[in-house]
Amino acid sequence: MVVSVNNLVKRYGELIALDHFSLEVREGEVFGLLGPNGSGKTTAINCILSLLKYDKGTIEVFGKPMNPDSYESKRNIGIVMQNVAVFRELTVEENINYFCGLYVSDRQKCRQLTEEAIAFVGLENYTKFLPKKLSGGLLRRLNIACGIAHKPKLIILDEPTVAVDPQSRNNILEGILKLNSQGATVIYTSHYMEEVEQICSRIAIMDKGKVIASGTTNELKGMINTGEKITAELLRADSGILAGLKRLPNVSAAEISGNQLIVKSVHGKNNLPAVLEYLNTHDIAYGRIFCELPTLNDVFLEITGKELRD
Amino acid sequence: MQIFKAYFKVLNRHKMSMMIYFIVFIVITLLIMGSIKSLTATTFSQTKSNIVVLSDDTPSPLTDGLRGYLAQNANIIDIEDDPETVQDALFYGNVAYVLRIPAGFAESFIGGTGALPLQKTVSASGAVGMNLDLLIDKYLNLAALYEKSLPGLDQSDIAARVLNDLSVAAAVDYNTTKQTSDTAAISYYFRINAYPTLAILIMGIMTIMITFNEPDVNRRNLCSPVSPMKMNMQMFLGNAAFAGAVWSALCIMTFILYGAVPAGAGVALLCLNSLVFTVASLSLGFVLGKFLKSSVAMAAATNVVSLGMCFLSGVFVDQEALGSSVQTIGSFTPGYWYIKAVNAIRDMSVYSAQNLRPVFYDILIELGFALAFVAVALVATKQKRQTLES
Repeated sequence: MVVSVNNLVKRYGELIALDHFSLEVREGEVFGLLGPNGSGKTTAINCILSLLKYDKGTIEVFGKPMNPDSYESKRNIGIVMQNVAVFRELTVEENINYFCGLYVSDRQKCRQLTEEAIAFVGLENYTKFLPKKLSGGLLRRLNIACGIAHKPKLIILDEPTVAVDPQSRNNILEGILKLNSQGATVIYTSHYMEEVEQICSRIAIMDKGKVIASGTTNELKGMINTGEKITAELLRADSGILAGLKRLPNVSAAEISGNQLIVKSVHGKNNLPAVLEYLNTHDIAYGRIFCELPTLNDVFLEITGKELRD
Repeated sequence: MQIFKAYFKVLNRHKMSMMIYFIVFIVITLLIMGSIKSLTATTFSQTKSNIVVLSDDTPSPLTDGLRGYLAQNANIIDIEDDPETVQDALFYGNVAYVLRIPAGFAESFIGGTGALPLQKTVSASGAVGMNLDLLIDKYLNLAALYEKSLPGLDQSDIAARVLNDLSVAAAVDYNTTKQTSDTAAISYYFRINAYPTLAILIMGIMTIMITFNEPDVNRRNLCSPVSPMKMNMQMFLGNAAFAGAVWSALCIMTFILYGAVPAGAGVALLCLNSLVFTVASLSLGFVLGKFLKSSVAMAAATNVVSLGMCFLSGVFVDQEALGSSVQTIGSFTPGYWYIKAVNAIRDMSVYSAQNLRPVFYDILIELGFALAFVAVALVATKQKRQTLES
């Protein structure tokens, strides 16, 4: 295991930020820590990095207990903070070189790694720029470059795409996958389920300081009863059709909301033909009709009873 | 040495702000140097006032001698002997003193019957009148002395002897040692030097502290494999190098502004005192940087603290001219003791152990302030770290 956290408890006075939090991150994977704001993701990361003291539990990184003076372990960790942590007075190149130099003492190698990091995040044209001259997306890229320049074995990214435009977000996500393909183990925290679903091989969903579910995307979706959801916009909503729809195979629920018919199935997919046939047989006119597979939000909703974005 | 290198890169970005303080200092110093030179180069020049001598007496060697003596020290103007004309001349400032010799004055003076009083009318300027009174008294007292001491001398002899005596002048040379005068001039420089030392160091150190203590950057640094002790050591080296550079630059300016300064004990003491004050200023910047978080607050603190301390401690105004309450308040700042030491060094002509003791006492108090500031900063650091980790 690259990271192993067992029964971590962290209290802020009466508030329990981490409640017997456990986690195992395997070598070479992109591990996602998904949860709403305030669920304890950043607290967990800060504890793993020994930035915060905790009340109970154990943390091991690279098989060794992690504490503030675990400098050998720290040498192999790259961290991309939630907030952009760079010097306002230093240029892009100077910032990356500074943070890289904290890990790599050889000046020549440090310079080379700095150049590689600049190229990796695509900041070649901005090397002499001060951070205040960069856009939000470029600033995030600089933040990432500062975290990964020394080519760490473990990279921890704490919500690196907050307040970033979609194009920059895609660039960042592609970059993370590229780092992973180069051999780095990645811990990625976010409250954007789409991102986590897109890049993470395993995911832990957090709420109120606890891991409420973990596994691959499919494993997580398999944990809930909600399957495919079919939505049809009816020209005339008639609740009389609901009883017949509920009798269709796999259908767990059917309801009408406004002029929308929502049919939920328990498992599997490809339930759409049966619903369409039913509507045609009963001469029910409809406009747009579409089906959605369950998302991590559905998983979160079913387990906690609230939306991930709440 | 990443932190050490970053230290100077960050400072470099703020060099213009610090240069402003340095330039202000140079301008103030040059102005003060100019005023000191003008004071010492032409401290005194003799001027002659316009006076009028009116005589109702018959001309005599005694009165002619008096008139001649007054003519050596004043401009005797001839005007019409008319009360209105005389008053107009006095009113409009054309003359400062009008002397009237009454009829029979010379005879009464020599004859021993008791001299008739001279009549004088003076303008509002009392200094001119007093000076002329002294001159007239000097002439007449000397004449009276000859008349009593050597009876039988006629008026011509008396007048000649008096004028001869009064023409004798004693040459006085005012000697100062070269080193004392140099130390006095340079002490002005070192006095004013407190302002840029304080302002530049407070601004520089606070800039660094705010930059490196920015929470996200600080946490990011703590994630690195560089121990806090090594980081603090590099910061300490940076601070020491910066303070040393500022102190050296200001000391080198002494030689640039004052030319070849003899490296005497006075200058060495001034440099030592300045070095200790630099350490105190560095510590003050360090403690302020622990509490202030924004660059706006930093700029305000730099001006308020540096100017405030300079005014309270007698940098811009002589300590002797400050009120006792201001001096009492000022004594709670290192600047006060710095200036006190500068003044003591300036006034010192013999560098004996007894004379040096109060100077070293002042320097030790400055060091005490430096230690106190560092202690407060360390307590603040510990509390901040505990807050960050909890």
